[in-house]
Amino acid sequence: MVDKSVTELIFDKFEEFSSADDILKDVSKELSDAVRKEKKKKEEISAILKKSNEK
Amino acid sequence: MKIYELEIKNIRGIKSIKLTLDGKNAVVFGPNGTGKSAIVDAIDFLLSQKICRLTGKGTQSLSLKEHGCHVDSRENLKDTVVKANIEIDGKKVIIQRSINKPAELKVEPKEHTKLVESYLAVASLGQHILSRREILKYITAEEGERAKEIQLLLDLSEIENLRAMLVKIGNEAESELKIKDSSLRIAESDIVNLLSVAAFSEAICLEKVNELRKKLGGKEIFELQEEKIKEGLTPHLTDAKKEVLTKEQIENYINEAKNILKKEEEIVAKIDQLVLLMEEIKKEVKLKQFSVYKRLYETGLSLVTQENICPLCGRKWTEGDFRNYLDGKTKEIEIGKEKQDKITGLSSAVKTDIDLLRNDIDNLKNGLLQFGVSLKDEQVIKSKFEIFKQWSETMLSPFELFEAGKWPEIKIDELFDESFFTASFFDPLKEALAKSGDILSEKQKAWDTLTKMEDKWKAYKTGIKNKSQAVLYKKRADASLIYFEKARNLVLEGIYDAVKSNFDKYYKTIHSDDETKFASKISHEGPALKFEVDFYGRGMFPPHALHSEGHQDSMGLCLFFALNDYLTKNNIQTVVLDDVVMSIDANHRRDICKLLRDFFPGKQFIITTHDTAWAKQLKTEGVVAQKNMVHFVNWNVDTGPVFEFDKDLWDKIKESLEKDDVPAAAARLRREAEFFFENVCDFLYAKIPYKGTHQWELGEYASAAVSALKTIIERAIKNFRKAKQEDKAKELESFYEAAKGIIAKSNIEQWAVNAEVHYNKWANLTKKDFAPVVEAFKELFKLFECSKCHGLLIMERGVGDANTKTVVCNCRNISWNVGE
Repeated sequence: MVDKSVTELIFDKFEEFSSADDILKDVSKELSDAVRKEKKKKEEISAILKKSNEK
Repeated sequence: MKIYELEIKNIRGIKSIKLTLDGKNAVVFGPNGTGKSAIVDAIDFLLSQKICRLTGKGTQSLSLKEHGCHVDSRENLKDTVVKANIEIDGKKVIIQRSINKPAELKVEPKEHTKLVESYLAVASLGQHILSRREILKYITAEEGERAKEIQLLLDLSEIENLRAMLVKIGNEAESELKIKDSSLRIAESDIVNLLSVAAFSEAICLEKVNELRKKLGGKEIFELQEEKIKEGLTPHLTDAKKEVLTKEQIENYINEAKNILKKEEEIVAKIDQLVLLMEEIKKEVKLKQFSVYKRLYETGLSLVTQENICPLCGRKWTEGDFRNYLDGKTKEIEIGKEKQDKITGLSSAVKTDIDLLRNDIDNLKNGLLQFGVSLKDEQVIKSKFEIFKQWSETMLSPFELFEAGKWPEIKIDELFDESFFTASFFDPLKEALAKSGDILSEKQKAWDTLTKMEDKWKAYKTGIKNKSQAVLYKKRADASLIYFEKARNLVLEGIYDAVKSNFDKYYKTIHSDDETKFASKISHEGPALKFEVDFYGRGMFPPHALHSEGHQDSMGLCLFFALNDYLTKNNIQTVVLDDVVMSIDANHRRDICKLLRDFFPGKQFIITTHDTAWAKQLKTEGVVAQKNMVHFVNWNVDTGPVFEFDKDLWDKIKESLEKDDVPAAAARLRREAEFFFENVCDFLYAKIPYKGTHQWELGEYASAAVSALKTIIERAIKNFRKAKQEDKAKELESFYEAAKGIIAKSNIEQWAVNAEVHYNKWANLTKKDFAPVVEAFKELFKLFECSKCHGLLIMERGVGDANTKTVVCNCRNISWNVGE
């Protein structure tokens, strides 16, 4: 069968980098999911990045 | 996935055709205009539901339905069919597509539909066909265009769109931070003007609030909180409306506005500096993409060796220490960051001053209304507010607007018209304040100020929260873009490295004679894809800069194969090469055969060509078997191509002799023998007397080939004995004895001395006399072939050592050391 696409490889790497970064780790999973969506919405990604990091 | 049988009906120039390929390589050859391209188009259509030739530049007026079918089938598209028996994942499947419903792929058995579709998704990238047009696309394209083509192949449009989205989010985050920062500064300024303090600090505000609370008999508070400002105080008289300004507030706003107006020269200078910086950045791509270049130089620094070898091109740096050079470049590029930081700093400062002045004037306007003073020059005031708005918004994203040519036309100094503001706001308000006198008691004023302070403090706290949120948003947006680009570059660099490594390997195989040290460079720099190749050790150049057209063609072929390796992961094994060796000379075509045969044994090449010599070379070199040589002889619009599976030479001669046509049989044998011995001479480095015309005949080729074969066998026997391989020496000796007999039968060595046996006389012979000649040549040909793989004997010479010579066949069943 056909291997992972280049796009998927890039998304995987992005998730790996963002989850290891202090400033992004709180929203990393949500951000990666939004980035992987077929029809990405700028507003959705923007809202995730704006989220308060207060627990 | 390989094609075993291909059936085409009413597609392009084809009426009806059925080819049995058995999953093996095939060559479709014949003159131009005999319908070869229709085979390419039909395979293209079957695998990708489109015909590449009907898309792209200059094809706007062409459509699949109108021009993909045979010209007589436009009204009956149901009869347009491409059908193939294929093997996929070890399963035999029939797939079929019609131009009537191009998106509908019929698969039998149906249970394999998803499997077939997953494979054909790769074909949609167009990596199953290479034409000369495509070759040029890879080689001569500009960097940006090449990047687009390759990105299209790698299906990177989604990645580039997402990157653009993250850049946009980053710009929005920066604008939002500027807005929130400006709002906080205004909230602080409002408090400064309300409390009449020299500058803003929480400690000063607390001290002032406690001073006011003391006037009202309240206890000292130790922390400024909205609900604590009037805590424990007895409500005093009536609460002043929050929007009503106190005398001090009005005076403070007037003073603040005057101070900002006095900064006219300073602000204009900042704008001039801003414009200068933006002009510099606009001109210099490196400054704009400093982060990309910074990463490049830093990566270079981490990889460069003590020997000063460049990690990108593999060359030695001779101009001093390479690390120092890269270090200097890194520092140089820092200027880009400094300039961009300066732009952000200057625009933020200008925006804050503009917003503060606008806030002051807005408050003073309310002050005038409060005193019932009508506004002078209302229209002018309106236009001033428009200028405030325009410049404030411009300072949010100055570079984007400057680059897009949307810089404000009205100069900023039009705002700094102090005499206008004095006449319209400052003087009327001072007059109104003087008339109103000090009608409120100190306690009432303290109470009113604290009431307003509750509101202002709340706005200040919200401002702090909003700004810290905006800072977080900006940091996250920046980090997202950095990590996204880092992820993209890392993955792409991995791919480009793999592609580059295979490209170099393939190219060196084709040009093993003169470019053994060849190297290429494929790198991703921002939106462009750099592709450079070594030119005989003289440096790196674009592929179409110095290399010949033939070299460019082989580069295109190699780049295609290198990309194909990566993209298809060997899932689509069928590759159509549509007339791709036009500019490549015969010697290098042999190396292409070697490439196809030795590097891609699992692939099925379907090659089209108008060049019969190349088609035959593919056979002689063992790339295509005799039975898969499809000869397109003619074409007409009613019947489509007239073709035949190219018959074996001896069968063709037999056919002629059966018809008693000796001249035809003799002509064919002479022609084919000439081609055969020319190849043998080439492969065995046979010596032929030089002729200025560069044209030799069968006699010259054949006797040189025979002489070379004899020398080779004699040397091989000698070397077997030297290596104490007596059994092999004896085996070859008995082969040599038989060979001598066969050579004698052919009369080749008699041609020069006996005119009666010369090939010029063949046409005059009777059928009975010519038949033994044919048999003798059939035997003679076999002496130069391997009995196992049927490939011709080839002499391989050791690189750098002319004495190392080995005669081999394609399968290496024959391997004779013939070194001296």
